[in-house]
Amino acid sequence: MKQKKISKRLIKNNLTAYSFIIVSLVTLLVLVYIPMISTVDYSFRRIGMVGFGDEWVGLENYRMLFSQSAFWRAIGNTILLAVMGLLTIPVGFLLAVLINSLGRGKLQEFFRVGFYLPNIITGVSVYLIFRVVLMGDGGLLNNFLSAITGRQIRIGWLADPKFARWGVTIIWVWMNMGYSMLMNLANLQSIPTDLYDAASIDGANALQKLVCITIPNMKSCFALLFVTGMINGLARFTDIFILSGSDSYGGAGGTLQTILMYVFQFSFETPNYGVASAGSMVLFVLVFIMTMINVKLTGFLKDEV
Amino acid sequence: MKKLIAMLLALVMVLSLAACGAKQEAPATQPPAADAPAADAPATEPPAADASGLDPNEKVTLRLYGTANFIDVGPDGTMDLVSGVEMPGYNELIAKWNEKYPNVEILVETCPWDNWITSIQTAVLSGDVDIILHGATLTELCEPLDPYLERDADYAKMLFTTENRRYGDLSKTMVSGIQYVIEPSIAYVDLDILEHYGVEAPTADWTWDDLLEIAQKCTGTDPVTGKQTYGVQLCYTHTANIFQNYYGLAMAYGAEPITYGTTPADSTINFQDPALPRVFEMIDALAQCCAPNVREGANVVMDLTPDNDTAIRWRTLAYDQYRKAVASGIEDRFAFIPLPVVEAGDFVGSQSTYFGSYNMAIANNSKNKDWAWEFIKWMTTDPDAVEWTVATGGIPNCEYGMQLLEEKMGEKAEAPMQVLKSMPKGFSNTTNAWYDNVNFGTFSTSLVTVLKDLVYGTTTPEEALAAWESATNEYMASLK
Repeated sequence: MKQKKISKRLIKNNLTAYSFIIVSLVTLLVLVYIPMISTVDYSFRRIGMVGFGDEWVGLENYRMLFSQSAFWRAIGNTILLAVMGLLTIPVGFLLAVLINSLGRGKLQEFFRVGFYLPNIITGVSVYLIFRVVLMGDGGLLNNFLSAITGRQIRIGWLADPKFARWGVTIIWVWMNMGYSMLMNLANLQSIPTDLYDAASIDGANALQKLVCITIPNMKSCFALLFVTGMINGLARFTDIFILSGSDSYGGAGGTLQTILMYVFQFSFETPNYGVASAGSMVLFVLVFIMTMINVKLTGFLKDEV
Repeated sequence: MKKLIAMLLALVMVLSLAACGAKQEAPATQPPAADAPAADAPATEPPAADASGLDPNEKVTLRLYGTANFIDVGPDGTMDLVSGVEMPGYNELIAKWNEKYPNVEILVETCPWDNWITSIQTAVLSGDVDIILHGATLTELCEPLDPYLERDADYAKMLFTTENRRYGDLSKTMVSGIQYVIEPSIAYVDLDILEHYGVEAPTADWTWDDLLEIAQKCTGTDPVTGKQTYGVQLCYTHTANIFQNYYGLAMAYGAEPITYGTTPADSTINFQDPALPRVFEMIDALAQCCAPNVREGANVVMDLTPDNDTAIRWRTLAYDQYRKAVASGIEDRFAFIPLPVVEAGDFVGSQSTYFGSYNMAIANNSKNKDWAWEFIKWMTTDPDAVEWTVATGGIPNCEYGMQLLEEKMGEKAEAPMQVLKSMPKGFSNTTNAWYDNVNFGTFSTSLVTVLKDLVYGTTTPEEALAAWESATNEYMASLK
């Protein structure tokens, strides 16, 4: 009885605060959680079009998914592309070290903004430009490679199954290295300078400082970039879809089909929302597992002692 | 006071969100279940016995929703950036309708092509749509129009074709919409390039072997200009519409792998059809005569331009291509010819082609179906509406439209006309014996990928066909 009274008083005292957060809570509920729960429900139904009849089929959609090599290939592609996309971390770190070495000033600001720019450019226009840059015949990248090697290079960066994953990784790294650079730079600049001074007195060279001081102090930053990079990488869709020529089966022999493209195929091209929802659930589980593994390996959520 | 305002705002927000949610869950009319065969059991009452039964004094609002060319021209019209031709907007069309039917108000709402299917589906589900612009493929949402066409037999005779789809029982087709723009693929032949190589211009009775022979002869260094030329441009190699190349050839060679049952699981897809390898081999051979960017599907230009370097192209939008050629002063340089003749199968003697279209369908939960039908009839055959269609660059789906086109294009109108006249009325683009992008899951999507690989040259025709077969068979097996 006493506890009930306390709860009531607590609610009454915090009524203003609750009235503010209820807006966010309701929005979250309506726009995120209800659709999420609906997706779980749909994954057990046969649905041609949402709202126009459905039939409970149990695990049938999952059975269909797992019986298809295309789906397994999509899972493999998704993981592989996400891992390859982690190249943004070393590239961003390298840029951050170089920019940091310029010292604070206008020059550093210029490069900081310059390298971050790809992050804020509209994706679709970039992807369309990159389709031309990465063309096998007369593409800018191949022309550049031909010029520096003195040989005619004709790599189909987006059309050849052997190179297509690298082609889309180049774009991914280019677009995301700015964010990685900024995070690395912020972390670099928070490393106490005393450590470097002490190392200099001890006679450490630049490489030793990098290996023994800088990199160990960047662990939490790398962990954050690793976790966010993997999660974003697993959910790649728009860039690859456009670069594949709007082919949801994945360009270049299907080497670019991710789980989301597989889901898209069954949502919009040959509508079967049950299968699409089951695919979404598999992606959800995959992202959840990867995140948990990442968190466990990096100790990301552990309190600093 | 602060508490009161905050609570009021929260209440308003909650109520407004709840209102949005409620609207979606309560459609005005209960639609049919997804598994109900719509062709056999129309969602609501059958159409009135006679169109003249419509009351001209009845105040009606018809709501049009979707894409088609309404989204291209907009309410007030636009100008084609290449040809400089101005195209009228749909307000002009509605004004013409209201001259005849002042009692029927038309409200148009367009949606972008991105996710257009879900946009249309949501709009129809809300009960706010009478006519779906370009919705004939979404059979679950469409009122079957066969009874309407039977009732208006004279009107039906005026049309070249109808949108036929399979829904429910796949062994049957239903008319789910009517095209007001119909776009057969035809070939555009650069007569200058052919003349430089000493090759005679083809005629409408040519075969795909003839086409390949011309393409091979015209691939190389132009003997007159000294520039590189290519024999052919396979169409849409840069998009998922690359399947149109398969489509024309499968039709020509009578490759008919699909046998429909009553459901997808009952249907069979036979990749041992002897004509299929021939289709893939021809695509491979033609790809050798394409420009590298066309083979790779990047930076592809499909319009007719003064610096054209390709002897033969094919695609839809014949009148639009003509207008662009006229704008560049090169219309005499190009011959418009139907694609090669069909050599085997049910369509022998017809021209192989692919039909693009813009269509209208009646939403099966509309409360104004008879008026919606009246609008579709007007849109497809009334001279004012047909003239509007032509002004937007489309080919209308009726004889009068073709007469108009003949006036505009002269002898170049013969090619699309010949194709339209040679095809049976129920010819379906997307659910027939050689191609189906609705009912067999990965059948159509994996075709796109194997064709892209084949055209680019990373697979052989045999490998491409085997990959397609494997992906499709897996999907079909999962249905059992």
